[in-house]
Amino acid sequence: MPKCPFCGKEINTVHVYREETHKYEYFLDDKNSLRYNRLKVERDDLHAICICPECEEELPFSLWRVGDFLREKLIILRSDDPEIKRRGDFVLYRGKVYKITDDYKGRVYKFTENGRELNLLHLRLVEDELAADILKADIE
Amino acid sequence: MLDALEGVKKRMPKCPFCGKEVKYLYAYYQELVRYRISLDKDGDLQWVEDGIEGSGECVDTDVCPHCERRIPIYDDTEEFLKEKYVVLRPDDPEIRARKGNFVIFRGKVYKIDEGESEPNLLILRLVEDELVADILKIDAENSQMERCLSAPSAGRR
Repeated sequence: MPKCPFCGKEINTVHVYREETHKYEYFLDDKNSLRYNRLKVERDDLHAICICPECEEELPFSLWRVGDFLREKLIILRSDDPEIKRRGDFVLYRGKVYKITDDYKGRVYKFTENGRELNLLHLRLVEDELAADILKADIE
Repeated sequence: MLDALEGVKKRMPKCPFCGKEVKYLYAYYQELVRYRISLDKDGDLQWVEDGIEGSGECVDTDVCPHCERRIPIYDDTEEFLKEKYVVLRPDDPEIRARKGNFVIFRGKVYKIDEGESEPNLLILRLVEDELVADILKIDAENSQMERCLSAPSAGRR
């Protein structure tokens, strides 16, 4: 199960806040009371915010990466997470080998927590089994 | 006879701009919606709406579903849909008679609301007191008839 890089709790749900424009239809029902239906929405996916359901911190990825995060294809961890062993651009985490993602190679995301800096790593699973085994043996 | 038929046929409020009858009105709101996203048993993303934060921001309201123009409803939408509050052009063909601040529209008496001014539109409120409405109706209809009788006919002109 993925874990929140901020509170460290395992989460199987991500909360999302998204701005939407709703179209409502107001009408009178059979009892002559006002009712409404929501008809149509226009969504602003670009500015949606992903939140940890446990600590309510904003998770550092866009709406399009929620699936990858929940499927543990995208892993975001503190650089000092006790469950990781790091060697260069590779990380061993829970028995699997991950690469610090190409896009962000060598880069860490800096957040602050209680006034101190917090470094985050974005990781991608190494799916090639042979390569993963070699790297795993090397890191271990 | 016509009034009797009007009573039988269910009439809807009408848009003062396009003249079409409106069964409903549209409103547009910008809202912040909260979702819970998780994986279902097949590993697909499952979105569950978890409510709307706050009251949202009204983008547009009381919009005609036919011409998409905003109808100037200063009272509430419910009153408009119940035809207790009517917005019409002054030359609307369904206005039977007009006397002073009162208008007969679809067999009912309305008072022109002068507090709400809208260029080229009449804002009408239903006179709900039946006795008062009947007196005003008879008075307005008689005035209308008198005007018709005293007007020169087409043949005389």
